[in-house]
Amino acid sequence: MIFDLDIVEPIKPERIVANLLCRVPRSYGHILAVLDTGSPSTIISARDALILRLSTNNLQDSKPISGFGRGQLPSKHFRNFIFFMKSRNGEAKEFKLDVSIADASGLSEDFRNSAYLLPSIIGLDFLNQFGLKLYVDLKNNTAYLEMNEENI
Amino acid sequence: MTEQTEVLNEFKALEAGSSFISKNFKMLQGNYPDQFIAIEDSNVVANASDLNEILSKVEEKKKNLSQLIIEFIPSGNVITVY
Repeated sequence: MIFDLDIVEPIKPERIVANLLCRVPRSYGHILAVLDTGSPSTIISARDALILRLSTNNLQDSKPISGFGRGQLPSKHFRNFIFFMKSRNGEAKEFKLDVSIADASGLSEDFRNSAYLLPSIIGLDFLNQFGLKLYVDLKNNTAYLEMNEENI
Repeated sequence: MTEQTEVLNEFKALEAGSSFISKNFKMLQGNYPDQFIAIEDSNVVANASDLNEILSKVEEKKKNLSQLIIEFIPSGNVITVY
């Protein structure tokens, strides 16, 4: 089963994006998640959490998220986050994955607005848990995830 | 309607919006630098420099959030890494 990915290309190849459909109860909606092999974890951004009205009130704290710079972003652990991806042959495949949700609720307005600029991220845990292989061919503008039959 | 059919219908809107962003990113960067935009099908239905502001605009227009893509369009003046 193959899941095509979008290559967003303003001037030169910039990022590879997966189209996800969130189906957590009461939080249906779209997520454009950047595929990031530099991230060990899948992270739902503070922006998408707000748009999807994902409640983080009763969730346990997860490890803070850090990147470039000195700051860290608090996060919550969300068990069994449910989303779909559409395969190349037109089938919708459901995935359940524990994810971190960036939690901007306790931040000052400036930091919160900065946190809202960051996208959701598909990390290596997703590829690992579902046995997905990632193919990228920027020259031919092609990127996709491939799932072996035994993992379907 | 089965869940599979329902989900596939929702994917149509998502793919149209996502494809619009990929194919028109340079235009969007020129028109909406460092702004949030809301895409419905292949149309920009709202823009704002702040996430809460665009959510208010979308609400005022009585748009269904689950049918929209809301994205931030960086100006391109910085290298964005995640």
